[in-house]
Amino acid sequence: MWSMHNWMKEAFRTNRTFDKVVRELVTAKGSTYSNGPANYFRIFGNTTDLTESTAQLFLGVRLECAKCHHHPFEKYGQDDYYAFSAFFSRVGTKRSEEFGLFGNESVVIVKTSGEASNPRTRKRMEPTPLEGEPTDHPLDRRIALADWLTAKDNTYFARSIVNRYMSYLLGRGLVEPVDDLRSTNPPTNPELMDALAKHFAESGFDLKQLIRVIMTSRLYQLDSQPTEQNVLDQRFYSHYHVKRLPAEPLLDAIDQVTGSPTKFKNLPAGTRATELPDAEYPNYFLNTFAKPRRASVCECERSPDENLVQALHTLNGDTLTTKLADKNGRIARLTNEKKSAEEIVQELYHAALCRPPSDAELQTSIEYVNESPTPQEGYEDILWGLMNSKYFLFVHLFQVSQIQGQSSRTF
Amino acid sequence: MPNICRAAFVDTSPSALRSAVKLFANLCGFASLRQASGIPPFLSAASTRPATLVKLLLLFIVIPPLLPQLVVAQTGYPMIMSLKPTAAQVGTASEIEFHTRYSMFGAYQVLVSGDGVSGEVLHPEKKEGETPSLTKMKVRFTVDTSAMPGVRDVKIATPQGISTVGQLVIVQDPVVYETAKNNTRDEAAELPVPATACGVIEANEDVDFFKFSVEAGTELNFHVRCARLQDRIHDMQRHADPMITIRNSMGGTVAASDNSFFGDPFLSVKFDRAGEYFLEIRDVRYHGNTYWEYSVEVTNRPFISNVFPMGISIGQETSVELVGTSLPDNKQIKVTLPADTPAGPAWKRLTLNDAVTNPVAAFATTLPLTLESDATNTTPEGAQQVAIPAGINGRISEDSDVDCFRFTAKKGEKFTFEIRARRYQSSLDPYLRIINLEGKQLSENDDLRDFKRSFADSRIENWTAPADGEYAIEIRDMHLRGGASFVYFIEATKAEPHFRLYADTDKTLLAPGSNGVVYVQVERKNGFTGDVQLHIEGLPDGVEAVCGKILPDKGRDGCIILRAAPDARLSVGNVRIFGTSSWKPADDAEPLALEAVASVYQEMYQPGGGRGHWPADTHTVSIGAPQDVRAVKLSDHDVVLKPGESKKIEVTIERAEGFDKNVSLDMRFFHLSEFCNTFPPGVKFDESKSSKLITGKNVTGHVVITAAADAAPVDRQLIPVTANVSLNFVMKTSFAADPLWVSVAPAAE
Repeated sequence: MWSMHNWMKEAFRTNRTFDKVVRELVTAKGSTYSNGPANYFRIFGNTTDLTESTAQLFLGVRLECAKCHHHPFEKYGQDDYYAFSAFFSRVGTKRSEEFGLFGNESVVIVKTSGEASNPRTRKRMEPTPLEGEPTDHPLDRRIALADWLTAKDNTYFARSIVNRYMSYLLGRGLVEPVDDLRSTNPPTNPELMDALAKHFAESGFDLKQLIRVIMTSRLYQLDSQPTEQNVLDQRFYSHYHVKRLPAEPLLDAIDQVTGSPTKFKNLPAGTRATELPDAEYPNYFLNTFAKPRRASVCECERSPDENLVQALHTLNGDTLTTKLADKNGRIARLTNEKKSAEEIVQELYHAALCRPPSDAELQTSIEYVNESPTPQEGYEDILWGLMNSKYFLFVHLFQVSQIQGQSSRTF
Repeated sequence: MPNICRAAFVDTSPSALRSAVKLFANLCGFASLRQASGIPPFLSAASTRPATLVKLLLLFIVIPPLLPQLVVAQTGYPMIMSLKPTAAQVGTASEIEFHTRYSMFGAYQVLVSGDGVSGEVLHPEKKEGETPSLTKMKVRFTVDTSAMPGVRDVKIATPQGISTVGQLVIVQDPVVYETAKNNTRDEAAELPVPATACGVIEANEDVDFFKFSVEAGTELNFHVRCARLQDRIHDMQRHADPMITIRNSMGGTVAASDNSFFGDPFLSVKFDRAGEYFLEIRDVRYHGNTYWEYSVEVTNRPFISNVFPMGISIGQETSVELVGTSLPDNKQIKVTLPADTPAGPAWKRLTLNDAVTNPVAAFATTLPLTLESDATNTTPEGAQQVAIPAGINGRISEDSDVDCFRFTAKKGEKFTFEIRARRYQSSLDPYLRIINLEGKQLSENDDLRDFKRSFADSRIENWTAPADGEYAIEIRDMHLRGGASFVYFIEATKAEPHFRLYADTDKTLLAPGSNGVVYVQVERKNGFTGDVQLHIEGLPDGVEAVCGKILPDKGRDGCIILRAAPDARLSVGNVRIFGTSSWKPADDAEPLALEAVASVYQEMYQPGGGRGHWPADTHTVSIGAPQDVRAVKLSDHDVVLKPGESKKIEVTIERAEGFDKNVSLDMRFFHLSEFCNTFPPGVKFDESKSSKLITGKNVTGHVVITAAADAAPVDRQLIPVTANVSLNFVMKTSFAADPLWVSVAPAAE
């Protein structure tokens, strides 16, 4: 698990192109301890899981129906399913003792034999990409799969990835669900999908470039306030689709604003929620805000919907309360430094909303602090209010400044 | 000897120890309590302190009969858990703290593998009212300037027996131990590179930081030893999986490594910018343990991981290519292995730009060598021709590379092919096939197995050519990788009958007047079916051996009974265990004189209760203090059974005073499963009819041997009878009886 996590971090740190990332994953071999991508074959420990997960993750195709019968909404039948699964039919594991007697190292290998057959016709299937011609490699069938999968003319690959990033950044994919691309579920804007996919492929599958293109687009910078004309639109990006911060960045943001980092069991202090390697670090806040359990490859594991429990937890739960009152937290530090009320309120606004308070907000805040039993309690209440505001909890909410008559954005 | 003394050393409470030590001091003529605060100083320091040598001599001359009663009388299993620091610099003397389990009290000698490193036990100064720490001790290691860097096995001889293996890393540069608090960059320990950073990943979430400065363009190598050190020792716990990260002054990641040499990381980093950087080391899972010591060699010298070719003819100058990091532009240098170099792995330091390098793995051989040519050899058609016997040097030079070598064989000819790569630091995980010229697979092997352990290298043994013709061996990386460090050496030989021996385990503890047993197992190869007579050399003075044999055909196990004389003194010796056989491969053939030295495997008890094995360098026999079972006596030592007959042998144990724990009898080595059984075919230890468990203060039991009705005649097979004392849930110590010979008489007509 850790080797996979570290490999992913390195890939993003060095901006490894996404075709290389995927190639390393689907052709991974070797020690699950030393070669992070090899854990792909530990997570998906059988041909069925590998077939269905690979199709869904990197092609956005849900192939599982075709395992038992012809796909009801698509062109794929059992021959297609088992021909695709034949790419993984020779993957196995062996034990190794290179990590000592207690090491339990598992090594992913490619065997010299192993086939996939259509269980209904008993026909042995040649490894074949979806909608493609049979292809193979004398040493490892998965190399042929990776060649096809990451080819620039494989529109499935590029489209499925850009669709996911549209969803991550704009709150909604061009196709929804994002991992269910099919002719009967077309994109809301086919031209945009094609253009983005083309750009992504031409950039050499550079993720940073893709993110840059999306985030510098007019679309991304649209006002989140709908007009009368587009208020009903939820699909065509006529205005920005506001979304709640996901669980991990939200907790990290709370930690940063309060100056009170969350301590995760068996991880050193200072480890952020976004750095957690897997779902094995129980945390009530993260669970409440829908951190996925990573039990499946479906994007639907992370529910974007807000719910009452989440609202109650930030309003009344102990996460915020404890952090606000932390003796080593931001408010304690500011009060200990004997700063003026104005300075402290300014810092709280900057920390929570990335903007200064308006004159009215400042004045009201100072008066509130002065009326509080103690300044500490007053500041805690102000920060509690800021962090429970939708400007803190939600991404890309357009805010009309009440004081300066100008607009500013919060993220 | 007054009872108080004996009682005191059975009872190790502070007051009892004080009384015993005072009395002992009086007996020995020592003036002060400090001088006599243990037996340890004058037992251990004999070789280095002339003044005490005289007293020690006096001790042995005047009161040798008392000695057994003067030391701690309890069964132990001295285990070295870690060394702090785990590294020592060449050309220096340094004190290293040993952390152990079970008492090391009375430690008197340090055994270090290889040349150029010696150790002296330093006993803690004892103050009135304190007892010596028995699970922490210090050793002063002296490392010659010419000592070979690398890992040394260390064992400590104690009255409780020879310890398990510990690991000491000999390094070129000064050792810097982590500071008490270095868990953040702000608290980082200063590391003046080049240096060896040492420390311990002491607890969960522990992260250690070291701070160093470099000039722009500096290239540094970071070589970690941690997991490999622990994997080789018996410590009954999980091991570290270290990871290092190089961070810049802002904490940003410059480079990171988890596993390079098995579980240990290695990094080579060129620093484009001058400035301050941090070396961060932790367990990749953020686990920790008080025994997880590490060393990180940080150097700006070349680091050579491999040479190509790896197989080098003994006594002949050979040009090799260096593979590694921070290398000079010219990577070719000349190497000559001295004529007296034994065939096999040879770790050698090379001279590069007037400086010696880190030790490099080569394989010394007398086989005629073939070097892989530049021509395409990925198929049998394009394969390079070799004449067997041959040593083949090659390299899987790029991803998906396949190398083929052709050879000619006559029908029925037998061949053995063994790849030497991964065991000697090659990156290659070889996969070996024998194919015909049409590419049809005739035999294959991925991982080879020796004794109870597997290794990533490949071996095909005793392959028989099905017809006259051309064949090829094909080698590739199991994971289709390739590169400069994917070097290999293939020993391609005609398969000859031979055998291999394995000693289970790496140590035998004796006490004056008591016995121990060494178990040996055989693997027969290439048609050899003969018996094997066992031998042992290098025993300490006062120890005699009765060597058994391994019966022919399906006989797998044999044993050697060791007996220490009643007046034997504390001593220790590394022994050589070997076997011989005279065997005729055919009725009309001349007999072959076969001999093999036993490979030694240390026992590794596992936390869950199992018993595993791991390679070790030597088997050590030690004579320690009397333990809980002083003697195991049999009513009969020469049993002759008729087919279908059973015989009962009474067993009487002599318990140490006050020892009332259960003792179990056995005639095999059994621990959840059978590890050794020297009985002839058809003869067995009849457990159901035996009284194996000797409880409480009882001292008698019996064992029953039964011969099957069809048991074949056998003459005097050596059988061990052992009395076993459990040390804990998992571990035990065995005491042996004098030899028991079991024969089966021919069946009556």
